[in-house]
Amino acid sequence: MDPTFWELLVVLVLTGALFVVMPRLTRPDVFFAVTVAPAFRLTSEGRRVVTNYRLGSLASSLLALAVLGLTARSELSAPWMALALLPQVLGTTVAFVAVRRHVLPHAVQPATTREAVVARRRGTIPGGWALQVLPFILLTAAAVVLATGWPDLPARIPVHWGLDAQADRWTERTLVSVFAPMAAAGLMCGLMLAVSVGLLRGRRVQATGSAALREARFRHLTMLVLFAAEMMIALGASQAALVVVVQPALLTRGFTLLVVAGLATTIVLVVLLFRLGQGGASGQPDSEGAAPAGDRTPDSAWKWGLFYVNAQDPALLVEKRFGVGYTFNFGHPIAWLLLALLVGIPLTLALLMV
Amino acid sequence: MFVAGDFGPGDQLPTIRQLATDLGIHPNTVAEAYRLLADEGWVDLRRRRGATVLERPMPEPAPEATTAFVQRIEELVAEAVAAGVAGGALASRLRKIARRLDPGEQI
Repeated sequence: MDPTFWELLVVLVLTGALFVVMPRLTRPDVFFAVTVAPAFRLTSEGRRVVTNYRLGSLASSLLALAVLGLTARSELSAPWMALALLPQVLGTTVAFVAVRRHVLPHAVQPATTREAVVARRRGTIPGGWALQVLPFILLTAAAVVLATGWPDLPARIPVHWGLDAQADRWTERTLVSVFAPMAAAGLMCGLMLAVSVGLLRGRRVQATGSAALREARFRHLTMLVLFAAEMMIALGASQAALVVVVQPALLTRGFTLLVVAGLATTIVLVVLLFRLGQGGASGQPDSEGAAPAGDRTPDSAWKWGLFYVNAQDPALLVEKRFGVGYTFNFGHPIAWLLLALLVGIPLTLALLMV
Repeated sequence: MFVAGDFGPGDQLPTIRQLATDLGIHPNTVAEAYRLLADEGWVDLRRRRGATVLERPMPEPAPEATTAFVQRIEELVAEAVAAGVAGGALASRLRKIARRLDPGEQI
């Protein structure tokens, strides 16, 4: 069986499980992207909504697995197998939007009072700037090694590796094929760092008390996940670029170490994030009859409960209403630009390397 | 907050963008509020340095200011009593305000 099959199988199973637990991870007063009383999710109507969503999502995941099995058995090439992701994502989105309609009648008016700390913010990025530049130093060092050893590089260079760390696709040696992946990796790391800085300067939903502390911990952890992703990208791109000048055996060991360390770090960070819940709100005490604060964004600005579009809100990054983490405010043109870069860079690179 | 003394001279207020983002309002609204504070002499606004709290000398009270204040507070108390607020609750609240204004005074 093609190694891509096993990679996609793991992705589909993990994503399917994540979609199932997703409703538990939101803020207690945000339910399927609608501001509700925290007790609503425990009512029979609330439970029915969750069950219907989960059934829809599970059906989508099963359909995705069937598509994967069919493409793997057919003569289609490995990239076609990635089509299996579509039914899972689309099906779960449809299930989410469909059940959300049943939650909308239970929406409540969120608290209209706004809180803010009236002091200059003194947040620091995890590890400080000395640590944050590490991915860029790695990429630059790899680029320097390749540039100095250019005449000795082989005519064909590998561009894809299987799970067994063996190269299975090659391309001609050109400036683009050698340096473009590292430039793209540098850009991706730069964008992720920009998002981290955006989080540092972004909105605080809770201004004071233990809720604010938990939110700060959540934000810190999110920035660490972004940094871990930057390191994975930088290490992966540097290693892939250096495979032509470093002994393959040494690189294979490095590859295994990278995968294990990367997976372990990601799993630990993601588990910690999930334990904190969206915005660090998991296990937060009830506000005792007060109007729910939600995430301080108006329900009306959430399109299908998934996309936040509010030109009146100066925040560029807001908490996701479904899932854990942050999303762009698409009411600002810069959000579209960042999204285009985040999607466009890997896509362009993939097209260049084919 | 300025009158209550929550800020000292030299304290930095959040940037316009930061406060607007936290409150979810337009930055122009925060900028206008900062301008008003600067006009009243509470803060110093410098480009790229944000708003810094100033040492603000209290102005000499006009002779009619105290009379106007007493008259206003009498009216407010009368309004509250007419609206059904208990006299005891009002007195307790006023005592708290008085203690905050002059902690050493026996009330």
